[in-house]
Amino acid sequence: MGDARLGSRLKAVRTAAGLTQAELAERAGVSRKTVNTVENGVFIPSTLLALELARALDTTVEGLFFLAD
Amino acid sequence: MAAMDDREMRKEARARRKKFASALATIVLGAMMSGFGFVMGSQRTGDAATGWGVLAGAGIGLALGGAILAWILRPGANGWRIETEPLKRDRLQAQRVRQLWIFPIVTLALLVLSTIDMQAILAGEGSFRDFIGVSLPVLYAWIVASITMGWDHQSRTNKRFLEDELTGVLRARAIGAAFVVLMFGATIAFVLGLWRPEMGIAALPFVLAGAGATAGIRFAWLDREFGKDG
Repeated sequence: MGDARLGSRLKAVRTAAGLTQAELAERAGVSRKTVNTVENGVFIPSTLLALELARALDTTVEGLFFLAD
Repeated sequence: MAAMDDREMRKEARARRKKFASALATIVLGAMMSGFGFVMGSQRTGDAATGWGVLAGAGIGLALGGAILAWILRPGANGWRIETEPLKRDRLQAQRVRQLWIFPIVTLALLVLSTIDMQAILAGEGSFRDFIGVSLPVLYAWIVASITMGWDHQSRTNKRFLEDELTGVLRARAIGAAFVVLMFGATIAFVLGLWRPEMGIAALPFVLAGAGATAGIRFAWLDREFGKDG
């Protein structure tokens, strides 16, 4: 499910925003487990979820995810 | 997503009050049934007394069931505290996972018990009880598969708490594993059936129970794995 090509700054952005996984999950309308797996790179979010997470953290999708070349 | 709004909170509180009142009504009904059964039964003999005794017993059972339910739903109990959305999501998801651990175990236990019933049926001596016995593990396999697929009542009524992208991924992987078991098991059942048709029939509950249990246990296992902090 994970993919080494996907880099993530989600955890860094979330902690910088002073949010817990549970708080971010509530804002994005998903379970804490979902946030946890996205942060750990176990699960690649869909475009929709990536946009939800970006909106919840007041940033862009590119601000959260990048291609790890 | 915003926290549960006032309207939803009031709706939930109303539903809990209704359930508590139903539990109290069940106690009253049970008490009336048992009282009536005792009074009438004490004036009768033989089969009539037994019949009233059964009514009294059923009444006691109903009253006890109602009392347990009323205790669980009593005002001030945990359930009466208004849950926030994340709490409710966590509780319902944990409840689903618990079911997906327990029901497959029940399915497999029933499957073991049903082997004697299956032997009686294949010998042409099956009674109604035997047919029920062999049907139960299949029924439970369906229940497990339904919970995994989100077809059960709980999943449908609480969709927004129980369904998200991760759930879809867990489901796809769990059903994928169950499909492998189903294909493999059905092939074995087919081969057995070619050799001895009754063996093919006897193998089918194992295949269905195995596939259902695999779906449930795989889902619960993956949920547990993904819940770990990395």
